Amino acid sequence: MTNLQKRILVTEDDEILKDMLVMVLQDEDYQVDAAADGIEALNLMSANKYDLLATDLYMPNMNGSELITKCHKLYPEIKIILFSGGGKEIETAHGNKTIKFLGEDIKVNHFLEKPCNLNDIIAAVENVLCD
Amino acid sequence: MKNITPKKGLSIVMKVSILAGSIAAMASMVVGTLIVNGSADIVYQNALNRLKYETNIKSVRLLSDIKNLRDDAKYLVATPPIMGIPRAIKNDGIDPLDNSGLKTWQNRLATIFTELIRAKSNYLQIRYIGLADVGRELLRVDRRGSVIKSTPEAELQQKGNTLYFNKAIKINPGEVYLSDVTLNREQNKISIPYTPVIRAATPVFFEGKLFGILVINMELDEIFNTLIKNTPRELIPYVTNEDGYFLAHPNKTMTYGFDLGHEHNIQATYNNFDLINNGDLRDIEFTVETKNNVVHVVKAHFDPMQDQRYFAVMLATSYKNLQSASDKLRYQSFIIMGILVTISLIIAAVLASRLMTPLKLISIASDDLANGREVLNLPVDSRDEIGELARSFDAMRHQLEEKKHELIVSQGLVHHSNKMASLGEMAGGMAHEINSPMQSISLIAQRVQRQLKKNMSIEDIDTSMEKITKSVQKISEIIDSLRKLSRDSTDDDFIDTSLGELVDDIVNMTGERFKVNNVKFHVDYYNVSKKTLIQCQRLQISQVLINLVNNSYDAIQSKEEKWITIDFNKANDKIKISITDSGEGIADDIIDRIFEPMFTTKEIGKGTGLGLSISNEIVLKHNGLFYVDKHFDNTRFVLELPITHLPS
Repeated sequence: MTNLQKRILVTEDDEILKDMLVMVLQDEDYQVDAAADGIEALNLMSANKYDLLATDLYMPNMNGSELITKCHKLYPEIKIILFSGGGKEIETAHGNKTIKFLGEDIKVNHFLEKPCNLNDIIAAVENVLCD
Repeated sequence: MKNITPKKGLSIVMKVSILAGSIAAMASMVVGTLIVNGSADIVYQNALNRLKYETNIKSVRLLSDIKNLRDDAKYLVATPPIMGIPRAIKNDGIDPLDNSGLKTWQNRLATIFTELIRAKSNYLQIRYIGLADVGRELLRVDRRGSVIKSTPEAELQQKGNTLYFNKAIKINPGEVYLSDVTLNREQNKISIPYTPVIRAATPVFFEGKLFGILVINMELDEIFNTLIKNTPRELIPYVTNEDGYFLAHPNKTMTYGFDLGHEHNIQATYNNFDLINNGDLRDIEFTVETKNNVVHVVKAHFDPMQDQRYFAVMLATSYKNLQSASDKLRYQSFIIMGILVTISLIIAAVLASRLMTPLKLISIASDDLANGREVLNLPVDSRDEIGELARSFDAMRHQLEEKKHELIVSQGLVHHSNKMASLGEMAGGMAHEINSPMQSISLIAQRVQRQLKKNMSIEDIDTSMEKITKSVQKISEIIDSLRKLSRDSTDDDFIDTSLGELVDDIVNMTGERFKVNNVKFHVDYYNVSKKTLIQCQRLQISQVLINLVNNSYDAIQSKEEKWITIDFNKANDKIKISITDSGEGIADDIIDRIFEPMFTTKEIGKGTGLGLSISNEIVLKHNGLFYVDKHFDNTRFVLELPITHLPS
């Protein structure tokens, strides 16, 4: 399976960063869509089939934590990469697979702490999709 | 602090001076008066005693003169010629004992008489009178002026009818008869000048039979004159006989009323003066008090044979004289007392002033302390209680200053730590917000690096660079708002500010936190737009709004539903800004207190309580209103700000 067959949904409220993530992943020949918050992302997920959700944690309307919980429930096959600027609300455990956020455990396939390298992003996406 | 100004009264120094002075003055006056009165009584008694003493002295002198007279009579009777003469007469003119003739004995006796008269200046006459021939004088020696002369035989007289002759021949040998004091007479006429005379007569016995008498006439003029002359001026001396007639008186015309036929006597001089009834006969002295005078009387009983006979020796003086010494004492004492009282008043005033000066200094110091001036001149060196007071006051002042300092420091710390806490929280939000553009820039740079190797198009590079610029711009904005909000904007100018700019300030500072905590933040412009301008101190109003939004953020943390809304409404020339959150309002019991300084419901360390009261001040400075809208179910704070600022 080539990268072209893989479809990724990027959810990020910062417009420039969102655009950049889309561009970077497109450079690697992935099919990429983008949403500005959790609600928009859920809308897109209901319309298209995605292999990977790459989401920010802090977003207006519906944040990443809520989005991931809903995604697990509705689309358990979609793999998840979480980006975040970190901060005191987040604790990581189990080799970046489980995130503690405001007392809740969030299971993700990979956690990336902002700021992160382009290579790290590409490597993480490749690894998660190859699993 | 309210400054209470009491009515101006006497200073404490004056009060204490007056009190101490009055006590001292009263004490000296009471004690002084008692002492003076006691002393005055003593002085009066002394004066009275002196009167009595002087009277007694005069009486004693008079009695002594009379006694001398009697003694001389007894002495003369014992001289040899007294017996020689009767022996010669009996033996026809020749004394058989030594053959002396009568004439010889007479001459001898004349010599004795003469010498005695010469020796005693107040003896006028000495006579030897025989019983025979109706009491014919046998020998008579007289003082006539300065000459003492024996009377020739032919001129000798018969004295058998005289009182003294008849008295003297009836008494026993060795006894002496003393006559009353009368004025001297020659041939039954009172001789001039008036000479008071007393006669002492003693009988002469020869061979067991009465032979004759011996008589001495003594004038009393000199004795009385001396008695009167030797009397102090303030005392009036009198000597009276038993009937009260004056024998001696400072005014001679008052004397010898009984001889000269006038009625000047002691009874007439002092009304109802009674010599006899004043006490028992045996009381030889007594004091008579008349209306204005005091008279002391000493009865000089001069005749041992008849002890009822006396001269009354008196000294009189007016009460005024008697009291003059005590009056003088009183007068002087009161002057001295006056001086003492004045001195004690002055000393009291000086002492009180010295005593009170440190108190006054303390009073000034406390006034200075109360009014925030520097405290000087505390009398801490004084060793008495006031010094102690001053020292405790000083210690108190130091403690007060330390506490004040501590308070300032701790207030500063609290304020500072709060500031740090909220600053930290905000900084966290900021850092997070900056993270996204940073991440963008980093990604763009890495991508450009990577894509350049793969023949990257100009358009692609251009887009990337544009994104970098935008990201940097965003970061600058964030840093700019942080810088703006962190400076003191109290004295900023009132400038036209759009509502959108105010909202931007809020969002820049709090937006990221809301995002992180899933707080829905919403802004509604009802009858206005983002571009509507109001004249205000932008940062001050922004701070008020950020403070309110932060309060809301804190208040709704535990709520299921978290939202904060800002509404803008225009009414007349005012913009009404309502900040509403999903909280359920403010309890009625604290709603009136939330604008008080230091009031807080937050736990210790979370809030100073300064927020709302400072916000209120800022809004008032803008001539606006700041209140809680109680009619709303959720918590709603309202600011009403004039669109155009009119400096008040």
